Amino acid sequence: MNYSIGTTYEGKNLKYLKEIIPFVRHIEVSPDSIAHKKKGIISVNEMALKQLEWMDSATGISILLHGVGLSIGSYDGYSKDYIKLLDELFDKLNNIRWHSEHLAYTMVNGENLGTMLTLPRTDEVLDMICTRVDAIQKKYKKLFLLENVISMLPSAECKYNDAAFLNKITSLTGCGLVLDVYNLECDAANFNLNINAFLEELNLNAVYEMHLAGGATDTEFNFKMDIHSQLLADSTIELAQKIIDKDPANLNAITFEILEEFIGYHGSAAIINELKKLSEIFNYELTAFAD
Amino acid sequence: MNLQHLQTDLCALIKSRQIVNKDDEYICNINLSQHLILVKKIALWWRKIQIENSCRLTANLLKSKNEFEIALSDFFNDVKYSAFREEIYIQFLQYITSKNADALTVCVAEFELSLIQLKLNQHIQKFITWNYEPYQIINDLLKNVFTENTLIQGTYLVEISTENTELFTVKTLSH
Repeated sequence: MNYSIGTTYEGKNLKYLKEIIPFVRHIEVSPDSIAHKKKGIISVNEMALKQLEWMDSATGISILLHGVGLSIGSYDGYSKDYIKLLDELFDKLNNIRWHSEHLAYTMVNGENLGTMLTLPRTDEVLDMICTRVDAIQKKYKKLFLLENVISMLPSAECKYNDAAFLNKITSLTGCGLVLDVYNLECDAANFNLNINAFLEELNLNAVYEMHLAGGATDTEFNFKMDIHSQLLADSTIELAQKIIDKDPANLNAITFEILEEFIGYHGSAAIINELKKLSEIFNYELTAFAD
Repeated sequence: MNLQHLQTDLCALIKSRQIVNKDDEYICNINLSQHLILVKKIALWWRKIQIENSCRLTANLLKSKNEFEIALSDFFNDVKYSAFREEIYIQFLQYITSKNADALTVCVAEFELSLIQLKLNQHIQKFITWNYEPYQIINDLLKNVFTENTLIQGTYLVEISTENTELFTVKTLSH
């Protein structure tokens, strides 16, 4: 099977976007990164929207929306501002393949935590998440995916393990998963996640997209951080291959995530090299297209 | 512990505030753990990369005085900042202009905030009085070579306005 290879784009550098487009089949955009507030109302900024509309109509590249700020796990409700952005993007763009969000929370009592925390894997949270996923899927009638995030804190008391909790959500709601491969490596390094056992138990047929990224280790705390600052490590690509070898039936897209702030540091040629490498490994058809 | 209490207390811990459920074993363990220090460190790091690239003048000025990390930390703990990165640096500049005691820092932050508003096509007419020659300061901050030793005293009126063709104008009031 050929997988769609793509990368992240944050709406600020059209020259860079045009450079990478020949090497991708999809672009992943975070609505949060292209939002601004005018007279107190949140909306997608005009420049980024124009770029997305151009990509949507002129390139044949699919757009994947990947949120950071929905905060689907906040006890006091998810972000209405984020929903406004989704409304606007779904209204303006035709080529959105799916949208996704992290299974986590970033806001509490209307306050930004400044980080993303995992949820306790309990029945209370399961009910809350499933209700919200159902509502989102009903509203947009588009495939919705949830992503595994790294643990920053030891888990509170939980009824389910990581894989069982994800399986419950996908089976109860029909939503899919973004499986972040690098996040699994982080959890293995920081909290001894048994990746093999996790992959054995997880319903891999719910996985539609894989995220690959490179990060850094905080040397003071010996903590592997999910910061998307680096190119891909061999171990991440090998783990992705291992997952693909398990033949996940619905896996369709592989996204190389890199933060906008670090693109300049590596240079667009290095990013393109990563995309070519992924194409060579996972998508021979695209390699021929790009050449 | 239910989700509301758990999330409210974890938020309080991250923001260095008092927790509600002081007897909860999990919250107490987190409070004493290295993990909490790490979470705060990483949260600050995210704000740092978002802000230093977007408020280059103000960030470089604060860095030259070794005040950037403290200002970030205070902002992180004091302000209910936005979930949207395009708003955070604006909120940071607003915070600096309202909280910082140093006249030059306030000047630079107001100047940078006005330029950002201009860039966002917002209608603006802002007059800022500087007590030092602005071009030298702006140039040095852009190159990240600012030092107080090169400040040239005087009174200068800087105007940032949508009515002007230039980005900003400087009128010398006194040397």
